[in-house]
Amino acid sequence: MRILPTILLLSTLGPALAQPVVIGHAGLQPLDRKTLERIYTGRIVEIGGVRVTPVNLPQGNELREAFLRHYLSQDENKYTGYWTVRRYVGKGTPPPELPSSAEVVEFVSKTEGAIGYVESVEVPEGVQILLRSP
Amino acid sequence: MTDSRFMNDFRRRGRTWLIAIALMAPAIASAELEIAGFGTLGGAVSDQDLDYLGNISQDGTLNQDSVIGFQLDGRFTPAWSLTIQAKAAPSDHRENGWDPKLTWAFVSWRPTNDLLLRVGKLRVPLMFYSANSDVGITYPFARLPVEVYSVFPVTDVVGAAFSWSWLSGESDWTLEGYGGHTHTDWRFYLRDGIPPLSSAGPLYVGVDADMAGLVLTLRRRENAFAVGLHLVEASANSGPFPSDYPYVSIAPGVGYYQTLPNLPGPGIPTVDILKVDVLTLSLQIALPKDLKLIGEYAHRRMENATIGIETHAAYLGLLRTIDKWTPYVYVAGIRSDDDLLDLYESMNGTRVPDSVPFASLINASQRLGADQLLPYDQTTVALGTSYQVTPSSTLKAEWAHTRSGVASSFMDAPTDEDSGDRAVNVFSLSYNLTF
Repeated sequence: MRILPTILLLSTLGPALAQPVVIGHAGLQPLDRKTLERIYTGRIVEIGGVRVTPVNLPQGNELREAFLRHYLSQDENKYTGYWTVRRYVGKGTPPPELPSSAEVVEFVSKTEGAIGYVESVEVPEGVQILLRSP
Repeated sequence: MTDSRFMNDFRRRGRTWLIAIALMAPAIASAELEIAGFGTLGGAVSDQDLDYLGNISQDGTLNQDSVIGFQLDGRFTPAWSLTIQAKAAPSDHRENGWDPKLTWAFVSWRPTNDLLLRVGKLRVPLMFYSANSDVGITYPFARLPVEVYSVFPVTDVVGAAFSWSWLSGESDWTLEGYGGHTHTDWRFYLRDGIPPLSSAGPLYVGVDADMAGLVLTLRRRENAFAVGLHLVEASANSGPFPSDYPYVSIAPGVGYYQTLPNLPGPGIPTVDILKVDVLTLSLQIALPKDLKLIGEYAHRRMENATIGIETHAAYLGLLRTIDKWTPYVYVAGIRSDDDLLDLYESMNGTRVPDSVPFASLINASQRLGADQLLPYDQTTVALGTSYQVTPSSTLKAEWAHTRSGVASSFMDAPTDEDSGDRAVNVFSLSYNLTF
């Protein structure tokens, strides 16, 4: 009988909180949070001799914001500001943005060294889970 | 440098770069390309009728801080990339007008996590914000403290640079080195003219320089520390630099400094190449309550001349981020070597009696020579804030109070007056964006 009040309570909370899971091309080894942060901030470009290619979802995407918050301990402003500085000191450009999780999955599954993130409930076969937020 | 000479030089350099870019066009066309841009619309007004920093007076100006630029980033392979940046900004070699400039055009190679090599025209690591000084959104101040950021009048070289990084726990270490050739124009302001030898007003002297340097940076969480050593060898397009102005005694208590070769005296010693080294120190410390402390110091030292641009400069700023606001306060100062300031005061006050032959020429030459020493003795207190309108645009406002001591080459003193013991209030407002 407690199930109905719980459901009613949850339904008033709005959209479910995004839970990103970091995925990578088959063959990539699991990562720790620090390494992932350095990949997404351009300070690491290869792991174990494999060139890595991180991809992002578009700015404003709820899953992207959750990814930045959970794994990089940053918000969009700070992340965008970091890459703006890095671009204009001539040290690189931010990871490419793909418009949807489906395209992230397709890119990661087909591209050696690719790393991305998807909703925890959407992890398909054919990609490696590299890191999962507790 | 006259306008016609500049345009010829611009056309020659521009043709060279256009040819280089054209040769690379097939490679550029096959690369993954990103085009981005930046801009600042900045206004500044002071409470004085003299020009400060060449542009700012009580008439107000948009020519101090405004700029627009574009950057092309091309990736050929994961390891090879190309960056080209061009901008249009108020001219740095004449008083009026805007000039286009190819800021960067370099090829990068990053074979590993640790190593980045760049060759071409590139911006070198000097102070914290030197490399991105044109992009106002990337730093908190409405205007970078001129006392410190003027120590290097040029930030671009044609040459090569390396960056070697290593990670140690929470610490990121980076050693950067560079070497190359550059051209700049030094601005002198002559309070009085000596017709027909020189006119009162701004005088630009073209300078070619070879530069090399090393910078070691430690970044740990939100903190950063850097130390750099930079070596410069400069030669003036107009001929050798005077290395001293000898004093010519006419009678007990009467004499002058020989600042013109055609005045009687032992002759002005010169050097063909001015050797300068610069030590830089920078720190950024995150404090509780979202406070941040930023400080930088630069010591510019002359190796082979008594007169010149030897200075100590520093600033210390405190910022706090409150939601989209970042209010700040900073104190900055620059001071030339004591010997230079003593020489400036002596020359500036030297007068020979009218009974001395060519007295008017001699007396005018003393102030002329004093101005050419480029003395600096100035402090600024600034209070300002930036407001983040969007993640890619900011509004900034600042009030800066500047006082000169012995003299300040940043202040264009009127004829027969001095730049020392003055105060200037500058109000600045700017809109900065990237796109």
